[in-house]
Amino acid sequence: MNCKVVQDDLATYLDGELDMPASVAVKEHLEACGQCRALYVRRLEAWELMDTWKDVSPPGRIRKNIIAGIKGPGRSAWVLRALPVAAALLLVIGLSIYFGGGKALHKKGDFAGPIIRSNTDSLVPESQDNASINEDELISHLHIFQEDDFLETLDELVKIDYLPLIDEVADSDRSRQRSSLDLVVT
Amino acid sequence: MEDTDISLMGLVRKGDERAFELLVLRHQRPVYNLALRFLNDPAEAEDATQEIFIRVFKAAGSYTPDAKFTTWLYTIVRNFCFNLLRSRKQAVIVSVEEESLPELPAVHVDPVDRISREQVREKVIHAVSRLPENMRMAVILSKYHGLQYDEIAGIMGCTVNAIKLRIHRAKAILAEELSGLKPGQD
Repeated sequence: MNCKVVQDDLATYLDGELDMPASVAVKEHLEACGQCRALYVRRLEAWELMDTWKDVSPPGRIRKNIIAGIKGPGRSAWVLRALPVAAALLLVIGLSIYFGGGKALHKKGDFAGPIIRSNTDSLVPESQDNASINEDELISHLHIFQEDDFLETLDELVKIDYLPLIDEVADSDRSRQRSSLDLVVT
Repeated sequence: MEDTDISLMGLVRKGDERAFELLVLRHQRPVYNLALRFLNDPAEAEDATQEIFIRVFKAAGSYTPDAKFTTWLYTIVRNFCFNLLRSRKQAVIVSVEEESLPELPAVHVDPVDRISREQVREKVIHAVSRLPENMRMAVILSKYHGLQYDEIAGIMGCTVNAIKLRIHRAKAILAEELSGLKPGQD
């Protein structure tokens, strides 16, 4: 075995990845050749110096964050699926109360949905004056059974940009006004 | 009897979060240290470890126990870290044939000048971080994770010969960079 072959095999020899005959041949060569042995010792020493770079313990918060990470997306997905349904339900109930359905509900006396119910006699008056009902007044009479759930849902709505829709309308109005102005200027 | 990684992954595939927590406990240290040594940035290593395990959970359905779990896991680590470097536009991923040796330092430390173990550690970190990405990952997996060349080849998606060549070159570079360092007693 010549020096070139041995030097090419040194790294593999150091890692114990050479097959047995080749390993024996390299070992015999190193015993006989001072130049290759010096190279071998240098590489071995450098490889051993790398042991000074020791493992460190990962920060404890990593595990907590990982577990939170696998739970978070699932919950968000559930909320995202459920929200449109809940929003549609709320809309239907609100519209039915506002446009007269409330009279029938009032007659039954105990309309109760999973989240809201009307709980006062003044919610929908008997008179034909329904259209004059103030929206704020209507909302003020809705009884929230589970306030925590409501607040949580509000947070989720904010997170997925459900609520800023009003701002977007205002923005589009503003941009429309701006483009009209542009036309006037041009 | 202690659960094997493969049996735990079988449970994780069914959505068992407890089994996943056990896998995290078992492997967070090597994953964190691999990312830390490769990226050389504790904050990035922490983020990477979290993201990698979340990916493991999400990808559990695609895991097939053909190979060792750690091979699959480290392949995710490798892909994540390489992509992270690419996104930082700092990575130069080149084929083994194109890999060139980085310039070696002109001045070598006097062999008789004993330096502290901490200084040696810093020089080791510096030397490893100067290696091209493919070489660095191969060296870290070999030196600090005790993986065989064929396992490293599986993780890196290349041949065993390519790994031999990378490690051979890396050891030559490291021997040059670290030659003569003799850590004293701290």
